Amino acid sequence: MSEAPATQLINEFQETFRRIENELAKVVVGHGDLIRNILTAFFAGGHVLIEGVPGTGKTLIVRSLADVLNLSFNRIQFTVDLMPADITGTRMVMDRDDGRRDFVFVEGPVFAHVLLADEINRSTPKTQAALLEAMAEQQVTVAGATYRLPPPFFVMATLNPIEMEGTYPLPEAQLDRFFFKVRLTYPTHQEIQRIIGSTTTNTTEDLRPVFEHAEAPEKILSLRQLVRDVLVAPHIEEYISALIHATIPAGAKYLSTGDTAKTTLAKDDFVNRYVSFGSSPRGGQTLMLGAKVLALLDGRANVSYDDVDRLAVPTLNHRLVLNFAAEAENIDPNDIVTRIVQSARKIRR
Amino acid sequence: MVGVPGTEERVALAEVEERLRRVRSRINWYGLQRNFYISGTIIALGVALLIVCAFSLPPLWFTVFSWPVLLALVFALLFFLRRTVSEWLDLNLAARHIDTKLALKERFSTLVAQLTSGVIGKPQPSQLWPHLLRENTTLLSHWTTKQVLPHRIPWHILPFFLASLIALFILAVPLMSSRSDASPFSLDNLQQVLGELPERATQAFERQMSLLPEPSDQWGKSSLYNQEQPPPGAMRLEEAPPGETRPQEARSLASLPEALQQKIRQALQGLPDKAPKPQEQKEGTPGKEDRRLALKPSDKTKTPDAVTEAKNLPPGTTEQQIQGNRRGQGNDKKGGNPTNIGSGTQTPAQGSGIQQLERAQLDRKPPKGAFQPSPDSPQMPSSGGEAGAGGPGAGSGTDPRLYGEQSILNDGSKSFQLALETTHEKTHKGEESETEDKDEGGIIEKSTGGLSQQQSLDDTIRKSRIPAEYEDIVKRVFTRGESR
Repeated sequence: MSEAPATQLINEFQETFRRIENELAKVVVGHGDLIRNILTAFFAGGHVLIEGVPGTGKTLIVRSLADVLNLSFNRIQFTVDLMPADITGTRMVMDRDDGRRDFVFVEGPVFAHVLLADEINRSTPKTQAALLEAMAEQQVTVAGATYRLPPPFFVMATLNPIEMEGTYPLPEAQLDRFFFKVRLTYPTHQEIQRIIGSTTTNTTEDLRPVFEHAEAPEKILSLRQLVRDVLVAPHIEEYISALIHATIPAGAKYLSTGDTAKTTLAKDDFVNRYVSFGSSPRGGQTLMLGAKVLALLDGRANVSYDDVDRLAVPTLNHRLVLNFAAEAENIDPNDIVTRIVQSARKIRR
Repeated sequence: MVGVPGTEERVALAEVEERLRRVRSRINWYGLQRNFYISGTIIALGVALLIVCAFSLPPLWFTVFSWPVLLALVFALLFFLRRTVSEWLDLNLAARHIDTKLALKERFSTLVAQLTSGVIGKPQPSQLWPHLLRENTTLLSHWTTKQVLPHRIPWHILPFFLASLIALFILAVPLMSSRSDASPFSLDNLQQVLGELPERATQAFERQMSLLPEPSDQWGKSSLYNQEQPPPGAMRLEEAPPGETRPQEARSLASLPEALQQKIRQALQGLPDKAPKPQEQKEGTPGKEDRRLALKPSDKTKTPDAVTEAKNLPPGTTEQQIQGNRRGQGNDKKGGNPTNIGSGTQTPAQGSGIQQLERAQLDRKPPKGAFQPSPDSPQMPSSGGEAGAGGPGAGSGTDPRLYGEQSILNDGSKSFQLALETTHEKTHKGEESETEDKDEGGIIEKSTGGLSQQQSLDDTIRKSRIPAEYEDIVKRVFTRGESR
């Protein structure tokens, strides 16, 4: 029985994760849970949408993550006049050595391992859509030619909840492609004090990369593969499915009528009142992968109910489309998901 | 075994599987007991409720109430049966139960799920599978089956026993009552009921008869006419069919003192009672009471009775009239002459007041069939004639031969009249012929020459111990006699 390799893999994953957290903690004061969620999404192969006010360290977190992972990093500041070619790249006429001219594809900023899409809601939907293919398929198509993005590809976009004039809210399809939507809160009093003290001197913390630059992508891909090897019992899958189905209101359109699930949750009145559309199956996939990461971080080779519950809010909150009543009553999607998770505890056995 | 794929896993999982099956069987047994006790509690309470309602509610309400209760009990039984089936654990559910109890974070259930899906002997489902296996085998030493096993007996047995005791107690209350010592459907009880049947029938008949307006009905069957058996072929109208209560009433009347009987007889007949002649006793003739009704014109031995009865006629009755009666009897024998009916030729037949009263009493019985009198019966109407035609008074259907010629009867210086309407049905015992007397009343007139003894009769009545049921009747009879 080859116990050592499996255990070593898990231990290696845990060690890598903790080293990244520790390195990020050097430059990012506080936001421990946010960093864990970001790393969870990263090792699960997803992308993260961070919503927060300016000046809270969004860009710092992403840049620091790229430095720690020793991966390539690009940053795109989304503006109204930003064009898709500015993201994906374009074909340009270039002079060859023999004097002939030819079209050469010039890669855009999307060709990086870690991409920061800063204030993504300020660009037009056409430009935003250019990022969709890159995020979902990890490839771009320019002038009929498809170009693969270098794995691992990780997009972290930020949303500025203020200054909404001249912004273009992200379409639901694009929101669904983000693994997590995390909310960056204001730092606490002590954290602000630390931020002020550590960033206003000439001494800066040096971030030590966890991986070597050459082997970093392979290492990360192997860890992502390990995440997918985590075992899941059928009742956990059933539980996740019930959670996803519970986010769909009873009167929603496109609701399947031939549902014969044994384990179902009663439709919460909160969901029926405030939700127009529930989570997509992609939300379930995300929930499963994130739970696997948490299982590995806990040293387990299997997913538990607690892993699923812990990630339900950041996974499902941005996948719920609230109705006008929720907007009028200022209902937070996080509250809806929390209620669903609480009601789902009774189906555990 | 070494080298066989899956051998290491099987060895490692032997203990896991053994514990898992033990836990599963215990949990299933516990669930089975629990559902049994719960359903048993509900059913016991329901049965107790039904028993209580059976003794406390009217039949209609009990029927209305019992059906919903029975349906609820059936529903509860089916519900818990279904629940037992749905709660029956397989290995995966048992593993999940262990995970929940021991907070194993679904390690055990995930392992069992992989085992039940057939991971043994196949390519590993994951590179982390060995880690999961090692974790579970390591954790086996940290828990025992006692930590996850439920109790051997669920606490639901307590309400079950309590409800069962209540139901048994309620069920035993009617069984412990004295009236239910014997089964109502046992053979002994049946014999007892059959033995009590005549007595109960008699009581029921007496209750029914007591509702009649004329208590003089009790006189319809006097013991005076049952003391001797009638001769063969002779018809005795006073003889009651078997199974009826008249013999018993006659026996009750016979229980009266002999002196009182004689006084009553004298009061009703208007003549002092005479003892039978020694010659008659020697000849073995039937008693005079029988003779009065069972005379046969052809019977030579009974012809003197006509003379004897003629002595009871009122003063002024001639021998020719008596012979006329004899001719009337002869005519009846020949087929009957309607002109003779009502001519008063059968004087002896009406000589006794008791006899007339008895006939009136018998006539109160409703007829059950056509009366078939014997040819020599005094009640037999002549062919073409109409019974009672020309009769003296109320008895339109009365055979005047019974009471004699009206003119003769009216010759008496002292007489009283009783108007009674009655019918009677009787069956000769030992004979299959059924007779019926269709006389529907009549006038009884009798010389009351013996009324001078009224004072002595009253004294006799006062001194006699008369049964309560006959005292009023006797007094009424005498009162009527005195009023006349």
